[in-house]
Amino acid sequence: MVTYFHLEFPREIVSKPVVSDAILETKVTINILRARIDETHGDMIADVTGHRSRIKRFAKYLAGLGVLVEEIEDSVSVQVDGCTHCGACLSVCPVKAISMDSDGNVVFDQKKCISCGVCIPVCPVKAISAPPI
Amino acid sequence: MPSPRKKTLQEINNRIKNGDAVVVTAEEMPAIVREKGAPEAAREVDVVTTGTFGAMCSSGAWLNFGHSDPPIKMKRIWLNEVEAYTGVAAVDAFIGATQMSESRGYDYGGGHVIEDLLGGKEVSLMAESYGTDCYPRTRVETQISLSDLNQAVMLNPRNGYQRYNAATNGREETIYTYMGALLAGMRNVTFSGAGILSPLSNDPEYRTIGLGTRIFLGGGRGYVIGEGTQHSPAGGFGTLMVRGDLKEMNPEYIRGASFQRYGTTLYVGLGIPIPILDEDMARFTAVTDADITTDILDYGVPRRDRPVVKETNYEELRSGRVTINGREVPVSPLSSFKVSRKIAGELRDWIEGGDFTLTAPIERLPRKTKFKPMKAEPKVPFVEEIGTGKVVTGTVDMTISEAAKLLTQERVDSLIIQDSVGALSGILTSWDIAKALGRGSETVGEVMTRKVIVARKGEPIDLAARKLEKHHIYSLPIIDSKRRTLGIISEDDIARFVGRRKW
Repeated sequence: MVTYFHLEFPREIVSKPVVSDAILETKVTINILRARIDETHGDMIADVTGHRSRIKRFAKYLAGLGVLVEEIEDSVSVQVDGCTHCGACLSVCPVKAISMDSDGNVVFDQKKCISCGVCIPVCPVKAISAPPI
Repeated sequence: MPSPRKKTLQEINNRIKNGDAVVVTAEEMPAIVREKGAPEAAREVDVVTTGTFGAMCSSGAWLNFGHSDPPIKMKRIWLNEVEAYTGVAAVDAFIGATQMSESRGYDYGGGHVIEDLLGGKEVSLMAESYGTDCYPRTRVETQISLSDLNQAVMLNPRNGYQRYNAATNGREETIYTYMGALLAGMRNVTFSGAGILSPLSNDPEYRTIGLGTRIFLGGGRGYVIGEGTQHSPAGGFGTLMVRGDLKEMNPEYIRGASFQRYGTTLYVGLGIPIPILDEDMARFTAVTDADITTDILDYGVPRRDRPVVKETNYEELRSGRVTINGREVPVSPLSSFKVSRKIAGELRDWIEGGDFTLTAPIERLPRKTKFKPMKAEPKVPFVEEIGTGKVVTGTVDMTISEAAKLLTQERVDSLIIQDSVGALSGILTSWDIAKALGRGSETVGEVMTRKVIVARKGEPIDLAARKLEKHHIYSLPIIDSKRRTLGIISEDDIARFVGRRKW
C-alpha cells in the first residue's frame, strides 16, 4: 500500500540523516515528492510503500526522532484554476500525469503527479500552481 | 430528383431571419457530406461555423483616452507599465499583445492589459510628453477602465492562420520558443491551430471569407478587414486581419498569456461562418483533421528555414503522440480545441437565433501572394567561416605530461580529445592539467571535460555567441555531423568579426 506523508523537520535535526535511518530500520520504500529547507525547519512530502505495519513503524520511528509526521490524503500536488484546456502542459510532464479526455478537457491525475512543477511555468495562462508545503 | 443549384447569400440570410436556417459546425460537416453526398449536403445545410482559440501574437487594441485638462500630446505611454505605441494623434495609442511590462517581464504584457481592461479592472496610465503650444501638459498619471475609453478597438494584423507548422527541437538542450518549451533531443512536439475547425481551412480558396466578412471575435461581433500580414496562400498559410469592438467582447475568449522564457501574447477567440452556396462549399467544409497536413520543423536550428523533421497532419497531432525516428513522442497542442469548439457552437447558436446574418466579401483575399523573406544584408556568417582556432588533437590514454607538452609546443589553450574514428570525445584545457596535478591523475581521460559544448557546422555566429555567454566559456569546437572537429571558434573571432561590421 501507498501512504502519503508530510514530514516536518525541526531546525535541530535537519542536518541528521533521519529519513535514511528510518528506511534502513523499517525497510519501507519511499519516493520523495517535494522537499524544502529554510532557516527555521525542513519540509518533505513523500509517498511511502510497504506493508501497513512497516509504514506504521516508519511513522513512529520518525516521530521518536522529533519529526512531526502527518498522514495526508494524497500529495496535493497541483491546483488548477482558469485552465483554457489548450494542452501546452501535456508533453512536458515526465510521468504522463496530464492527459486530454475525449471532450477536450485537460485532466490531471493527482496520484501520478510527482510535484516536479515542470508544468507550472509552461502554462500560458498561469492556471497551474502548487500549494506551498 | 431536384437539380443541383446554387443558393444565394440573400436566400440564406432570409432563412436566418425566419429562424429556419440549418447551421452546423465544421466538426459536424464531414459526417453529413459522407452520408448524404455533397449535393444533398449543400441543399440541406445553409451555414457551417468554424472556431479557433490560440495564441495570436499579432494582436492588440487601439485605444482613445480622451483629453486631459490641460491637454497632453502623449509621446510615450504605459498601461500597467506596458508601453503602448503613440506615434499617431495626441491621445490615441496601440497596445500590442507582445509588449512586456517594464517591471514584470515575461509574466505580464500587452495581452494581459487587454484582458484586465476587458475584465473590468482599473489599469494605471502613465504618459509623458515634451509639451506644445496646443498641448502644454508634459505628464499625466491616472487610473482608467474600459468604460472610460472613447474607443477600444481590437485590431489584429494577423489572426486565424489557415494551418501552422508543428515544432520539435533536435538540440541537446531544452529551448524556450513561441511554440512553447521544446525538450532536448526531440522529446516533445507542439502545434497550433484548430485543424478541422480552422476558418480558412474550411474555405481554402477564400470564396466566402474576405474583406467585410462579419465574424465572431473575442465573443463579440467583428469583421475581416483584409488579408493578414504574412498571408501566404500559395503555401496554404493564409491569414486574416480582423477588427472588433473590445467593449462588446467576453473575457472568456480573450486571454493574456506568457510563453515561458519567450514572451507575452494574447489568446484570441475567432469564429467565422461559411455560407454553403453550392456543392463545392459543402466539399470544402467537409475537410477533416487528416486532410490538413503540416510539417514538424526542428526549432533547434535557429535559422529562417528550419529543417523538416517529418510530415504530419492534424489528426496525428491531435492524437497526442507522433513517431519520430522510431520513437513515440508526446504532443502538446497550444490552441484550445475545447474553446475552439465552444466558439463554433456559440456562433451557430447566434445564427440559428436569427440575430447574426452573413455578409458577402466586398473584396476577396489575395490567392497567389507569397511570404517573402527579409531583405537583410550582409548575411550573418556561419561559425566555420570565422572560427580561426587551431585544432590540436589528443587521445584519452595520453599521459598528462604528454598532453602538457603538446599544449605548450603548439601554443594552444586546449586539446581536442578524439576517439579511434576521429569523433570528439572530450576537451582538455590547461585548467584541467592544473587539476590533474593537484589530484595526481595520470591520464587525459581522468580529467578531461566529457560534456563538451559545441558549435555545429552551418550554425550562425549569433547562436555561438549565445552559447559562450550562457555557459561562461571562451571557445567552442566546431563539429560536423559525424562529430569530427573542423575548427574552433572563440570570443576573439566573434569580436573581430563584429569589429569589422559597418554598424
